[in-house]
Amino acid sequence: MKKFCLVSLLIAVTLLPACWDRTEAERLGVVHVVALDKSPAIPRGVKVTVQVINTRGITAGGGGGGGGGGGGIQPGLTPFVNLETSGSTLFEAFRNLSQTSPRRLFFFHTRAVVVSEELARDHGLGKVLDFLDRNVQIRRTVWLLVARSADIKNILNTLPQFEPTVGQTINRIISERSLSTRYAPERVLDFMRCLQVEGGDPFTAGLRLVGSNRNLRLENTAVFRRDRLAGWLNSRETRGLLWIRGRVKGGPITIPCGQGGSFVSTEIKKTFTSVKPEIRNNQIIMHVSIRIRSDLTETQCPAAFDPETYHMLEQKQNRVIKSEIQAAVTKLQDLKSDALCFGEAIHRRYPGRWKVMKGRWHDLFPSVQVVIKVQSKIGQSGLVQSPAKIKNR
Amino acid sequence: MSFFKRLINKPKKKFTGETAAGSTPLQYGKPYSSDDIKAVGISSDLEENYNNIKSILGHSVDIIMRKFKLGASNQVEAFLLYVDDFVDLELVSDNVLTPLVTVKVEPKTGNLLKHLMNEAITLGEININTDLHLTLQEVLYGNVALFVDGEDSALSISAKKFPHRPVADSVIEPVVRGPREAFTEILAINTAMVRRRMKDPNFVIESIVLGKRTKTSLAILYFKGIVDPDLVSEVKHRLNNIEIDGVLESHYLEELIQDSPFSPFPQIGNTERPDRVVSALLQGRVAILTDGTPFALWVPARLGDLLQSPEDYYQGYMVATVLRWLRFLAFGLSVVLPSLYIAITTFHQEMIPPTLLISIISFREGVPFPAFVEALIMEVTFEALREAGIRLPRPVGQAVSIVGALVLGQAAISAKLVSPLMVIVVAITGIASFMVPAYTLGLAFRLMRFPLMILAASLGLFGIMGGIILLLIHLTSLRSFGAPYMAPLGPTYTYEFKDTLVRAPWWAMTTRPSMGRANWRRQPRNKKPEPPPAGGDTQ
Repeated sequence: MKKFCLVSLLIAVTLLPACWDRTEAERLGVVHVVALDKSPAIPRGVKVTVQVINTRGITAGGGGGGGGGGGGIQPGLTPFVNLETSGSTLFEAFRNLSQTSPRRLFFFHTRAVVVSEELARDHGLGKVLDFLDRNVQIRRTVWLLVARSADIKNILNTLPQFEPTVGQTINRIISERSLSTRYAPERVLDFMRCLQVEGGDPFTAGLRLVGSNRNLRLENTAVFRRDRLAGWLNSRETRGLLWIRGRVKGGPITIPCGQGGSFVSTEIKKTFTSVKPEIRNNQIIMHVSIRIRSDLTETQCPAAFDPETYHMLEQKQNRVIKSEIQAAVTKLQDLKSDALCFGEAIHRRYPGRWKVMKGRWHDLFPSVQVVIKVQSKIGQSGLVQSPAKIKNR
Repeated sequence: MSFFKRLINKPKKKFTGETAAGSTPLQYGKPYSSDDIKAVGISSDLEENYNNIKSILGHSVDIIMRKFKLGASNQVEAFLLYVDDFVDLELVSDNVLTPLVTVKVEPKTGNLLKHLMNEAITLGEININTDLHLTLQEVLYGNVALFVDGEDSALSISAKKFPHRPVADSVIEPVVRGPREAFTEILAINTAMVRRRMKDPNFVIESIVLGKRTKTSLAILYFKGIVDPDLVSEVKHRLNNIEIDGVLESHYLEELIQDSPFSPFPQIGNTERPDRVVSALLQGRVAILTDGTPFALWVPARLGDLLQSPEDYYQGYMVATVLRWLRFLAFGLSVVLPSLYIAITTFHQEMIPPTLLISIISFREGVPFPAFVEALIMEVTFEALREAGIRLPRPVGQAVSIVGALVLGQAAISAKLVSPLMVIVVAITGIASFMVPAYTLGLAFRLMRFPLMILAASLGLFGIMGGIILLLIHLTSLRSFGAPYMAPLGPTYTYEFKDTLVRAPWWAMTTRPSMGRANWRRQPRNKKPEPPPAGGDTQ
């Protein structure tokens, strides 16, 4: 009897649930990019555009016999479909998408959330982030990017050459970011963490279309004052920001050498940053010290490569880095955005004084003095010592 | 109606297997129990014996009863009884008939049969029986019986010769390197093959007879001094408890002596390789050879033992270890792969890498069935193909492989009945399940796949987890002749890991597994081959 009960219980457990929450893979619409903009119709509403993979537009391997032979994309079908709705809340808007989508939208594989510059400036990202935080499907490790409102539609309609979708393209580009270190993308997770600490403002990279081919390009950095967009840093200032945040992992440094117009390039190999606050006579001084090791990768100067030259180059490299950092600090102090997280450093060092300061930190921040110290070492120059001499020029 | 009535009022006759004892006179065509025959006995009247035997054996055409006159002078009536083609006729003619016809028979020289046995017959295995039943039994095993007028006993002479297959290569457990020969259907040849590998006097082959009708001989093999004596008596006890009509294959016994009769998992190992039997005996196991089948049984057999191949010991230990791990992996895959595929593609798509998900979606585009049905179709097809592959007559083999590979594989995909990924999954599962060296174990786990697939389709990964937990609970509760089935993992015997999780080199395997605890140390330690100590024997 006991056995019978057990067996019937087992059968009931297996058969009664009857696959109620089953979704076959082909019923899913895999979303790769979510774009958020101000809704033109609903005041303070959000316009949501999602890019859904259209698997019929991607011939995977060669399963289908009907598609064209060689081409990766079947004629007449795009590899993705963009769906668009609006709503007063994001959740409402996302659910309204099901009115247009025959497939259940699947956000687990979302690669990037693109927020329009206008939404970020006028509404702030607070409500967007709350939704991204609560939503189970959109992972918090997704990249958050800022684009101009006018660009968003075009960005989503770009037909990327290498990857099947825009989302994939963005993701792959970002994964190679330390080759240039000219833009500073942030994951939703880090962006939110930055908002939750007191002294520090978030930033993230911008997304644009460039050139006549309208290629996607990640460039510059959008800096925020709390959750609102404050302004943009150019690529030089972005590098400066990343120096102070200790997030430079690679990328080129261009050093002018001797005669006008000639340059030497080095590649960043290893960096170390320390930021130490000091309060002297009510003046906040930040001591930023950077140690860097780089390799020589290119030279346009015919100078012989002896230790003195190296030493000279190192001094010049120090100046370049220093000027990048200085530019970033000046710009951020202008924008009153503490993307450098100086506040946090002060909070740690002087927790008592911070309590007094934190209320008016955004007003104090522009008056912070920054002392920059750079120590650099240029190492290997490859197998080539001195540059090739071109005779009888 | 009357049919149902008959069903309800089933006659409650007790089936004894024997018919009621009939007393003399013996009738032709009537079944006789052993007691009947014993009651008849051997008469001193030759003619009566002749007629009795004729009646008992039912005038079978293969029973030869050759009447002749014994002795050169003072001739005495006698007859030989044997089964046609069971005896070596040449041997009988040279060593029995000829001397018997020419022997000098003195009238009333004490025991005539003893005299013949000592003076006339020149064969080794010979004895005097007073019991008719025993005599007939021996005749049916292939002996020749001699009945002499005036004697109330008979001579039983062994001159066996069976029609049999020669020793051939192992078909079920082939190896690349290692002995090739496999057992045959003849018990005596099989025991000889084992004995040839073990010349120790402590190696014991005991015999018992099972099967009320077939009277099949079994041999119980063990190694005195290594084996646990309790295990031997347990094996004998279980075998002696068997009451069955016939034993045609060792599996008949397996089902009657295994510890958990309701489990799909084999708790007794079987092999057709003499070397595997010897290795089992040396580990302290007991082997049972059955006449009429090349498959020997060995007990106790645990899950880990069934995952080992004899070839593990015939090649380098590093290779063998890696192959063993590969086998573990394949073993796991063969159980869970299809259900994992179902669960992940229908419930947990977020676990699939993005690019793979896209290809799964595009492959499944247009497939009308849910993944579970798709998997079921393919699995059933695969099982059917496998079964057909074994059963089919050789000449049509090619037809089936064409149908299987082309029609069912390629065409099913083109027709969008199944997705190519599912075919890959089923193919991997199939290959993996064939990697399990014990065929019976592979079958059992192949069976387990289907309930797991149902669980996966209804409860997702949660269901698979539950299924695996139930499976593990069952496996850990099993025993094989008292040995825990999951040992050395279930109860952890760390000293057995060296020959379960890995295959340690021979110089490191110095102790026997748990069933050989009676004589635990197999060989001395520190026998690793090493160069001689420096400066040792330089000249």
